Amino acid sequence: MPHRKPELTLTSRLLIRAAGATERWRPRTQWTVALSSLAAVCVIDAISGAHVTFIFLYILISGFAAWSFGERKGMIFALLAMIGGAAVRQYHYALHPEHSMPLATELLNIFARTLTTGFVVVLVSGMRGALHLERWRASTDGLTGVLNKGSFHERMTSAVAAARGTNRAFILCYMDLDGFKLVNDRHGHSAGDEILRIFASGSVDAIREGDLFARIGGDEFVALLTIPDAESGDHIAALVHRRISGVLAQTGLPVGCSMGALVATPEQLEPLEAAIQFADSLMYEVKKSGKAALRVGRIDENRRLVAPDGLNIQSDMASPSTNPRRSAVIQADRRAA
Amino acid sequence: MIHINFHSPAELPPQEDLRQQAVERSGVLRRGGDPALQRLVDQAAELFCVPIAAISIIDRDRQFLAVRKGYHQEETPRAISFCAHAILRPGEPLLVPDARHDRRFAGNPQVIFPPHIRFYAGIPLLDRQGYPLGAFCVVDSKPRADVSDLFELSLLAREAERQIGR
Repeated sequence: MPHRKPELTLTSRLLIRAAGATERWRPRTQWTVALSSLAAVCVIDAISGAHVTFIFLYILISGFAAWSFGERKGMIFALLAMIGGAAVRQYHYALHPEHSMPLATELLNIFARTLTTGFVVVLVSGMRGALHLERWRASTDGLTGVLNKGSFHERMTSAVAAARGTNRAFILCYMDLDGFKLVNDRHGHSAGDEILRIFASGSVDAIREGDLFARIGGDEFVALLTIPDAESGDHIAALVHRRISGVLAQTGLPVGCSMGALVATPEQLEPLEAAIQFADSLMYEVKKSGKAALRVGRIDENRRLVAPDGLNIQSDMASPSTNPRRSAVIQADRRAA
Repeated sequence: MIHINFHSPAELPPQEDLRQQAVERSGVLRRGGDPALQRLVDQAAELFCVPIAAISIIDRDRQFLAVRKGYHQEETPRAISFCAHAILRPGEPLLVPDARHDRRFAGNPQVIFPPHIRFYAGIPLLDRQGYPLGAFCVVDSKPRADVSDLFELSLLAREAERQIGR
């Protein structure tokens, strides 16, 4: 059978989009909306008289609660809704005793209503879980469980935007495993995969929780570390490089990590594609020296990165330059557009 | 044209754990401002006609400038230390005539920002077992090619080793 992407119906897509909107509300807003709509439903149910039943509204708002809060809290809310509904019925019976039913019938009704609502809550929260899992999968590298390239870009964009105007700075690290091909060839691809997994999980442990770490290619990884100021960049980059090199050393296999670390302010990291290219070329500098080392780079203070489509990064080792003054800078040309 | 200035923090020397133990054993970390060592550093600065001279001890993630002349900080991160490079070859001096032209140092914050290091000469300081504890160094913000006084510097470094070993 061909491996085709399943199509979503229009209603499913609308539902996902609508649900996504309420999901972004703060928990307090969600609870306020849920509880006040429950109160409103109870009032409508009470004033509409005993002949009209609004059970579908109780179910509907329980579904909303399940979507917003998940299964357990959705269940608690559904229970509240059922109690509210039962209370309203008791109110009707008190006003009009002729409508009242035998206790067994009343209990059966309550049981049936609760069962239906519970079923809706389970269904809705199951769909919510599936959607969350799907979102997680779409942003995750399947082999290592860290971020993938697309979601790294996305999160880096918002992290950099959030840091604008503050003193905070970033280290953009570009990492490549040395000796990875050799391990693959000698010990097989499953050993190679295992190395990637060990490296990824060890690296995530080596950085802080709010930092980003992603696999963006075969044995290439990037990380974005938020640091209090640009001065501490060298120290932190060296520390992180040492830690993750330690992770690799523990495997006992001849693998190491080449790292290019670009220390930059939020303003200097834009456009992001260019910044990542710079970090990549710093890493490539290490590769040329042939050992698993670290290069820490800074963008010249008075210059900003240029548009990514006009970038031509080259280091002086690649293009033999006679000017020794440029031996330790990477230069980027802006080509005529 | 955009420039990315880069540098390479020194890697850890082999037997770093033993070396660190040797640093702690030597007691030199408690000898900040020691007058005998200070005299040697002052002498070195005078001899080389440089504004900065120091005895730097590489201690875990920092370099501790036990005695220093012309430099106000008592310690800096190891990641930006020149002396952390010097201890990688314990048997020989590290000589940098112009840091801007050296791929290990050109983008070092001490080069691109104050004190704008250009010239560096450092003699590794060894303990009796041969572990490098740090370096005896002279630094200038002007490049210089002439290093005929290097032998004198190594004599001062040997004297500093004797003082530390006491």
